[in-house]
Amino acid sequence: MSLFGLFRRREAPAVAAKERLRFVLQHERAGRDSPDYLPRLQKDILAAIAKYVAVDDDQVTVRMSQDGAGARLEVNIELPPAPLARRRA
Amino acid sequence: MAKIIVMTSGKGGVGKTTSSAAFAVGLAARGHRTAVIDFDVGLRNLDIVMGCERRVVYDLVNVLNGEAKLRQALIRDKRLENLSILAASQTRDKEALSLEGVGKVLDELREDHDYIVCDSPAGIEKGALAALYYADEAIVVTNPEVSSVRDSDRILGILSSKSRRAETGEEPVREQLLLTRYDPARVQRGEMLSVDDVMEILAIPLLGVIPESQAVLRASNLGQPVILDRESSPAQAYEDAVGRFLGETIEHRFVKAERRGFLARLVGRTA
Repeated sequence: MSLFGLFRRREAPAVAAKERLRFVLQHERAGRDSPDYLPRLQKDILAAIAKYVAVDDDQVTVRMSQDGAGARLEVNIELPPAPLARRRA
Repeated sequence: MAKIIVMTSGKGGVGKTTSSAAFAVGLAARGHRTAVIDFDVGLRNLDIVMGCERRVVYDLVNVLNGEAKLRQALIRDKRLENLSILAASQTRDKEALSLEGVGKVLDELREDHDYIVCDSPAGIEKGALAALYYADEAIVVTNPEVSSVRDSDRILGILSSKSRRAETGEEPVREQLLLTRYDPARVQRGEMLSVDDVMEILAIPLLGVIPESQAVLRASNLGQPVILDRESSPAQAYEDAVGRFLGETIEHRFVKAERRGFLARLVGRTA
């Protein structure tokens, strides 16, 4: 037992469980307050922008945040550095 | 005014039905007029745990569809005269579970009951939402296990956004934690999340800790809610939890590993 104990002295499973829970819940709680339509809205915004500028999926983020006064919709678009509308030229 | 209690968890198999039966019996035994409703349409089990499966004639869906009166569908418990059971339907689809219909059934029950216990199905679909929508009180049944705690957290989020109280901006649903299948010896060995770990993560008050016990399976085999197996540790823990629910101050038991003597360990059985 004592010899085994020496080799087994890793982190207790309960500690790992708690760590994993903390991590996963931190992310899930952050996304919880956003409305169900957010992914679809993000897709539509992306489609609209893509008509004029070449952007990738991961260059547009749509986020809803709550503060005392109300909800705020934040749309963040990273545009490519090159001149606009090249694609269509 | 009758209180509506939802027994909920997100995850399946953590003890919602066992706890619903225990709470319903515990409340009725203390003289409160109590009804317990199975919301798990298609997979009913409360009737089995309560031991009244042979007496189900009409069910919740029959009442919602207007095929039976509520009085006809309520099954009077044979042990406690002020306890009745409303079974879930076994065959119909859950489309009948409209919030409006469920609201009417609950309103009718409110007239002559003190407590209405809603046994939620697992998941976050229609049945689970219908079970929690009208709740005044939520008992969140959780096992000391990662997936169960995660799902409980999700259900807490739903309670605070999708319940009637959340929608109307009334005082929020009172949420309390019921930690079930707890094994203090495994916690002591660092193999299981402790009460404190789970409370720290979920951040809601502790209603009770129900120890892991063979008595629970025995009770469901017999159709006798485990709270009636008075000598067993879960029965005592449920009694305490019901008392706390009603506002009594009762110290938590079964939270620390018992120090058992050599002989007890040889015999090796707990109630």
